[in-house]
Amino acid sequence: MSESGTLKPGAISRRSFLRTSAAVAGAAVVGGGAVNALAVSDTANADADEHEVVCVCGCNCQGTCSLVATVREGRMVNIRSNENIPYPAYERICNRGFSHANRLYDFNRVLYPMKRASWSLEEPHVENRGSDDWERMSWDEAAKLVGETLEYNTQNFGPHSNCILVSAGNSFAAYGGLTAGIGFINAFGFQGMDVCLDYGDLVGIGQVTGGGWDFNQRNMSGDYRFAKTLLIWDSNPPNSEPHNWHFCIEAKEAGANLVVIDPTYTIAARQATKWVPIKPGTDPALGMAMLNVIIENGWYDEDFMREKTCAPLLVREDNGHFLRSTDFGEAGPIELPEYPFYGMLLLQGVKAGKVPTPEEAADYVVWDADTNSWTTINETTNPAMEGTFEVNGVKVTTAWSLLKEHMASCTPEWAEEITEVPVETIIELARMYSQDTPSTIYAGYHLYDNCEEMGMTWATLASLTGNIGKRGASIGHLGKNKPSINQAGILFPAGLGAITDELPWLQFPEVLETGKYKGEDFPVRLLYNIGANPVGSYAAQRKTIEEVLPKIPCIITNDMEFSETCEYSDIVLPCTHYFEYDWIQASSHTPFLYMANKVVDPIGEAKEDVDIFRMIAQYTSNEAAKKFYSLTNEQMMRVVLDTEKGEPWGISYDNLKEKGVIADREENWIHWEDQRWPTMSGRLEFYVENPGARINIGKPIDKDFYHMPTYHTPSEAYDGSEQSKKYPLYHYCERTRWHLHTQYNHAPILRELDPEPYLRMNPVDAEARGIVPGDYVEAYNDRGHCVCKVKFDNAVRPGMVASPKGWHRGAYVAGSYQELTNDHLNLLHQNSSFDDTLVEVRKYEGEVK
Amino acid sequence: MTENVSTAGAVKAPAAKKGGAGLNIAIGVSAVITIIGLVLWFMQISGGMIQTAMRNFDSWGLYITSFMFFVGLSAGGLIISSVPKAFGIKGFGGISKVAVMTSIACTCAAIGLVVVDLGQPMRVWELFVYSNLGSPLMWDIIVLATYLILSCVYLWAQIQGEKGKVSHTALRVISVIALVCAILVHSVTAWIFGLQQSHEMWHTALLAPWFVSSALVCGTALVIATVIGLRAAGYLKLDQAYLVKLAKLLAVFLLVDLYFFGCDLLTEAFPAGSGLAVVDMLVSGPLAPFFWVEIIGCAAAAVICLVPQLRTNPLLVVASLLAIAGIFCKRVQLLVGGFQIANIMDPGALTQYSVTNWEGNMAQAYSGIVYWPTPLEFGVTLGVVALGFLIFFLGLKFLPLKPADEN
Amino acid sequence: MTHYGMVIDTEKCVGCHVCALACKLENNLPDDVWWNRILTDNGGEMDFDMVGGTYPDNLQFGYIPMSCQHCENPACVKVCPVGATYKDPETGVVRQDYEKCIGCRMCMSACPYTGVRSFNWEEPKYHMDYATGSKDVPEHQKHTVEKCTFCYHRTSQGVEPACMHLCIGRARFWGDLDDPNSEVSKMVASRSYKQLLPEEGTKPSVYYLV
Repeated sequence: MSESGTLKPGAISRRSFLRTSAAVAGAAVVGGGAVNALAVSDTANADADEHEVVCVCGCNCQGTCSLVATVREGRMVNIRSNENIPYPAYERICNRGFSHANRLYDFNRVLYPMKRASWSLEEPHVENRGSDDWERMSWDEAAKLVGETLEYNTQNFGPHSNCILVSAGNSFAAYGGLTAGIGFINAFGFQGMDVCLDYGDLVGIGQVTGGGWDFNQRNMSGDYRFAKTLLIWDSNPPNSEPHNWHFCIEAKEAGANLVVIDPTYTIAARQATKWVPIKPGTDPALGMAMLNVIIENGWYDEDFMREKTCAPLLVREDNGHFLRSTDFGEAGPIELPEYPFYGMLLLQGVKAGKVPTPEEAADYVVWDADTNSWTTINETTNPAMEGTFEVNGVKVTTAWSLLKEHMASCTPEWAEEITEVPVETIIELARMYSQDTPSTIYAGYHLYDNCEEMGMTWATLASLTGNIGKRGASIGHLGKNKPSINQAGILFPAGLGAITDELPWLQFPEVLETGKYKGEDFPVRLLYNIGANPVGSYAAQRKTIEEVLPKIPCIITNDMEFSETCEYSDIVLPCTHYFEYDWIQASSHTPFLYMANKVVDPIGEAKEDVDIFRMIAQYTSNEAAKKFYSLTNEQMMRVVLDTEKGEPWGISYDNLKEKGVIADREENWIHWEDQRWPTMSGRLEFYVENPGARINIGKPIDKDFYHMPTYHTPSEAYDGSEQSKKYPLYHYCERTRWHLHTQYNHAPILRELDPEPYLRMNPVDAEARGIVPGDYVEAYNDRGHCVCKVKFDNAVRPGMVASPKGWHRGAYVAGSYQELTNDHLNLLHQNSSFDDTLVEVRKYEGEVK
Repeated sequence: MTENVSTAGAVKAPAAKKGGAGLNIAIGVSAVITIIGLVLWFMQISGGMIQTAMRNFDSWGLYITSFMFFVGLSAGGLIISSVPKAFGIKGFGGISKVAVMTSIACTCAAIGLVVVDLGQPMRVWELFVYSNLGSPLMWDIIVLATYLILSCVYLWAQIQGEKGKVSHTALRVISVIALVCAILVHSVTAWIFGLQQSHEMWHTALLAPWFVSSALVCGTALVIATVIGLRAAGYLKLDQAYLVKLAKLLAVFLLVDLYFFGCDLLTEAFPAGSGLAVVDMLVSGPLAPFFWVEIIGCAAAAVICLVPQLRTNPLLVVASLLAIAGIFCKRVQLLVGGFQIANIMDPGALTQYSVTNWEGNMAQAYSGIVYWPTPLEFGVTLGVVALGFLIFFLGLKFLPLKPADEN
Repeated sequence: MTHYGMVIDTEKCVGCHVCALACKLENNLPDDVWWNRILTDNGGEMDFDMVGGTYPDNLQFGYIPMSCQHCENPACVKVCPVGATYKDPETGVVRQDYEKCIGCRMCMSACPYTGVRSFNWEEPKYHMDYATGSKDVPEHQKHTVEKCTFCYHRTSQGVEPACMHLCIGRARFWGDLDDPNSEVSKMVASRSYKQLLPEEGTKPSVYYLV
């Protein structure tokens, strides 16, 4: 940096140290995907004291890397990607994967069951949390204490007074970790908590596709190779999902438009064919203007719209619902269920599987353009696409006409004002997406309050252009649904009937404050975190520590690492690392199922979650739960794997144990390939007839606003907001390659390269505040502050600052980036809009230890 | 390092004034400092060279700087002593032996400085077993060893010559060989640096002659200062005319050295390419203090030596010290400057082993002088320098270095 | 004759550090020692991952993974006084004999590729109390110089270097540059490439595709 000293950068840096010695002109042909020059059939380590184990990384980036660990004298010494998988293009490992030996042994691991010294059920002394001594317990003592506490609360306050927060920290799995936690909730009928993480645009997409807020949206990542236009929107896959990126690059090399829409100049943006810098939080406006351009230029796919979407369906002017022939019957218009139906993530897959046949969705009324009269959808091949009609005295308009009218005001000029993306760029993006097809929208999580509009806009773009359910064409995210196995068997041992809506974390403070939920008394006696780190991972950290947790008399945490949440817990139970027990990995990010084999013995007294719950169950009076936990772990795995649905792929416990990795679908699997969707009509419903909150929390939403994509500002991160007067800088949390949520914080091999948290700033903003490289700075707003080193970076859009996501509080000089983040509750999406955050930054003058 | 030189002066002065007793004290003090240096060196070996300020990006430091400097110093004495003999000029016969003795002491110090820089001094034997004769370092080791032996032989021959046991012709032959070797030793030392294409600042053909001229400067200056000191102490007598000759010689050497510097700066800067960075760094960058001390010091020394009115004994001492300090500054510029401009400034992973000031970022590490020695390095260096003095004082005490009253 | 070489496609490298960590683990590198480092090609800014230039139209960013270049004309080999660093005649790999190294660091200052060679400035320390990686790697020694060996212990067994097992950006290639039919030879023949500091005349065996 020129301001850092007497040397000019040009003087010492040898700007052009890469000098071309011999630029060989030649076709830019790449020699395929074969990476290894030598075959690596075997590394020839046949020693008796050294062996290899095929295992799986369980952290929730969903990369689900199949790995080969080398074990020498009982300790893990090496790791590599597993080259023996059904589709070699999915071979993968990342830098974090190489730190597992570090993570396994002793770095911040929880070793024994522990209890906070002054805590007891009767006198919890919550004020001592974070400062108390820890007492080691035996597993029997711990299981008894936890079991009896749960039992006491259940008997005296009802099972829902035990709130269970399950997340993926102990591995996201088809058996193990997270699924064990969900099964525990269901077996006992406790209150499940919703994490409010990353569901924002999912819910928007899900309202249109009918898939609910399931992550399972895009085609398999191998399919990106067939796209002609790839919009990487709000995401930096090389950091967050590195294993998908080479597929995107393959598309680029085959001539595709690889466009990155991001305020920050990321490595993805660098490698893209086009980077679209955009004003933060305004992305929905860009998408809406693209819709406008596509409509204005007739760039939509009318046949697709007619046959696959709600375009020809007639919308009643009176109630905003689609007109059904049954509306004219005795019962009148039907009572519509609210999208997306189930207040729990893992049930969204159930919803997503329910695709109606044309016969099941035969009641929809359309206007027959040939006969100029109304008919039902399956009775005509030429429904009118546009127009307002009167059917039996009910005034109706086609959904397509409504959308056209609705989007008319979203001109590129309008969007340029908001997004600062030039009109020509918007038009070019619209053209690429609709004309250079097939097109895929690779979505990140738009972590602003208008995220649901982002999702709806993406889904509407796909609906108009037919870029969905085809080779090279899909939208949204990849997720967790695996139809070929029976996860429900261990997720819901007490049956689907016992399921209640989860309680969103963002609603939790009000419930604790008022003691009421949905108008009913709702005492919260216990919070049990299973692989969850709400203190570290959730917005407005100071509020969590100072206001939320103190209202809960008992906090229990199962974790492998001593997280911030462990620090504020009363009882901490040590969990196994992914390499310390046998479990099953499955996620729809890859077309595989995996047996995650135990590599080494657990450290300390760590146990896998299922074993912990089995011990706890003994100290309760719930006989059904005890019966469930009388299954051995292998029996549970057999419940998951030994199903009829998996037979075509050869999926069974025995087979998976033998093979390690089994494919459960095609390499380039296309989602919704049969072009029917799990909406009520079976069509893409870009007109949402009955929008609803993601989870029913007893608070109404403005349904009229949510029928079609409608722009609204983020909650605070926009120019002119109340907060922007005091806090002019947009703060966002970036996914770096060094962390995964709050995991990998203590792996020293990673900390050598990424030693401390920093705040990334454009030099322009830093200099305006008298900040120079090497300074420590304080970022602050009304919710809290953090003090860390500044990092000058021209990649950051002026007016923005960025914190790497995941750092432990203790790594900051003071506070934490997570104190800054916005915990605003949006009634529809109920998602944590972490990036919808404004701050101011000043030079930190205090002492730095 | 200038303080080391002045310390040296301080040690020497009492030795001169108090004659034999002073010399004993000087020997004692030198021995004690040498032993302290040895202790520090063992600390360095056992605790690791992490205790020095050297790191991967600046992998040589004060030891090699001082090594260069002492090789240079060693030259002067021998050249002063051998040139007149070699060319049969009536010269400084009286101070010839003392001059050679300074050479021996300086050579020993130079060798010591290389040894303390080694990570594995116990493997020094490998140098003789696995010698890679292609390595300039190997050349230097050979030449330095030869030089040291020749210096000893030359000194012995002079002493024997005074006793009439060695003929003048033989002495003359030895002096010619010694002279060639002296020039070689500086050239080879220069080539340790100058043959490395990786450091733009070092990679110049001028480096070898320039090392010779620098050696002549500080060697002559050292002789002047030593002679004035010893004369004041009554150890030897020398006609002022000889001192004037020496001073004039010093001035010539200084001017040649400055001329070389000028040539080099111009060649670096003129294309306005990457070499300009070197000039910037020297003239106005982190090494500017060393640059200007050298330029001003050497220029001032030249003026003192050239202007007859200024050629007083105290001022000549000042000029000598200025010249020595100037050349030392030059060594610092050369060594640290070579690392101050890294070919690739990006450490990738910035760790405690990357660069001396690693705790900030690279911009901060290089914003000032990239390398500054730790107290341990000063201590060890001082110890080796003290060893040089010890050898010199022991020579004074036990060898008949006083000029025989011939001439 | 075999001449092992490496081709890295800088258009594809995402700076993920998998190769750096694979190297670190396989070779049981001491704490804070990295033989394979990922440099940021940003026009001279000096922070890792930092983008150079000005937002948004003139930004410069990319990655250059850098380890020993295994030069055909290595500057280090010439200057080593005891032959502790030498070129393997069979493979062209520049090797380092820890047992022989006297710690003079001539090779470090001779190597133009700053930081490629690293000196163990103290007794090597390790995060864990046991050795990771291959049991065939020689033990690291205090006060000796070390660097990338091209995983000689693996290549001599016919296995690719650890950094080459899998590049997630599919940007790394390795093979015999003397074999015109090898993947690396073909890439070098068909693509534009750069080499690091070609003006130093060291003839690196690492090619960076651009």
